[in-house]
Amino acid sequence: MICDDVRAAVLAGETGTRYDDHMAGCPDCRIIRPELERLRRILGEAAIWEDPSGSVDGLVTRAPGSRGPALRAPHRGRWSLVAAAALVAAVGLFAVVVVGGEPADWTVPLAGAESAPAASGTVAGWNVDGGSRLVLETSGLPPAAPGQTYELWFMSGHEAFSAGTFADPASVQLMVGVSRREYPNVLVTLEPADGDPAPSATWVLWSTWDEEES
Amino acid sequence: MISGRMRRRFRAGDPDAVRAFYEEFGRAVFVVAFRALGDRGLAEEAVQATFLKAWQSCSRYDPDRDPAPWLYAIARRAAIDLYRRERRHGASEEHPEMAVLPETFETTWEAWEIRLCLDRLSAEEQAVVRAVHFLGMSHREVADFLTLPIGTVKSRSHRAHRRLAEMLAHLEEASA
Repeated sequence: MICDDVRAAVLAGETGTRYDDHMAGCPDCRIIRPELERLRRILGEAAIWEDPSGSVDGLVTRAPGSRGPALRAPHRGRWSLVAAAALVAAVGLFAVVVVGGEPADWTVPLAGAESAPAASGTVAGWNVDGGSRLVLETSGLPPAAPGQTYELWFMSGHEAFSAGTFADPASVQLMVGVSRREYPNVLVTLEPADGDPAPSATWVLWSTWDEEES
Repeated sequence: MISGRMRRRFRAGDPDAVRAFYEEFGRAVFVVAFRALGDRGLAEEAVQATFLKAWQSCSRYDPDRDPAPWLYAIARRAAIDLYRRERRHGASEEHPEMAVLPETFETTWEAWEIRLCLDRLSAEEQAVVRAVHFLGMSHREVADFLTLPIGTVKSRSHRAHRRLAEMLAHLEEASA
């Protein structure tokens, strides 16, 4: 019996006199045995065998030409241009966002929607190969309650594409594989853990009109 | 395994290369986060944060080097950030910067390595190893569970554990 076979047996948790006999005469295997047994205990932990349920598709990109999920609650026409203009003034200080020394390629002011009327925010975007890098900054939004997450969507008409989910809305960085030219509007929703890929009806922030790229 | 070409594409920020990295390392990142944080939701969040950070930092990745240690460092950092964020929200009177990380963070490197090695086994070998360790089955029970001859189970188990022991030898020697 050779060392490799004995070490495999120890890792597998197998016992027997032939393994013990080898151990008795092999100092190298005796030294390694406690470590193999420690690794065997880790192998038995549930966490080792768990898989993530998501993917990075929300971070990176979608197949060219594919369609995003249908928007469930497209009732946003009530916001007047006057209110929007006031909002732009309110969040104007965010107009030039700089990250890593590079000014953003574009910024979008966000107003509190009916579920969070006092909230506000801004999304700054950097155009990168394959999509956009985003920084969302908000005020007036608490961290999501357990079992809920915030989700940022890029929207075009009633079509929405998720840029990712987050629990703490104070400062969020996301990557999305679509350009703002395709999806000019931005929406933030509060999502229950219901597995529904479409935006929920609980809108907390939205952009007020299609911004020009700065 | 991630090819050299794919590593260079990752460094260039290619979204397909980010996907390839996720396919290769996503489960190990999740294991690190789940083991450290003990919460599936937070672990999922850590996975997203890890690959976002990796993508944002792609220009700092050296494509001539194995990306595993680099990604592990990002994953552990993401888990620590989430742990401290949760502490901050859960106990506002405490100072999060003073928080001592729990023991669950101490052996995340071993968990990461073990998961990567498991992912390199064949699906058949993984099924046997999972049944032995996670389900705690004997070879006879594995044979019944997987409807395989017991001889097949024994040979697969031995082959799989021998490969695992070989792949994990650097951990054994480093700790012994």
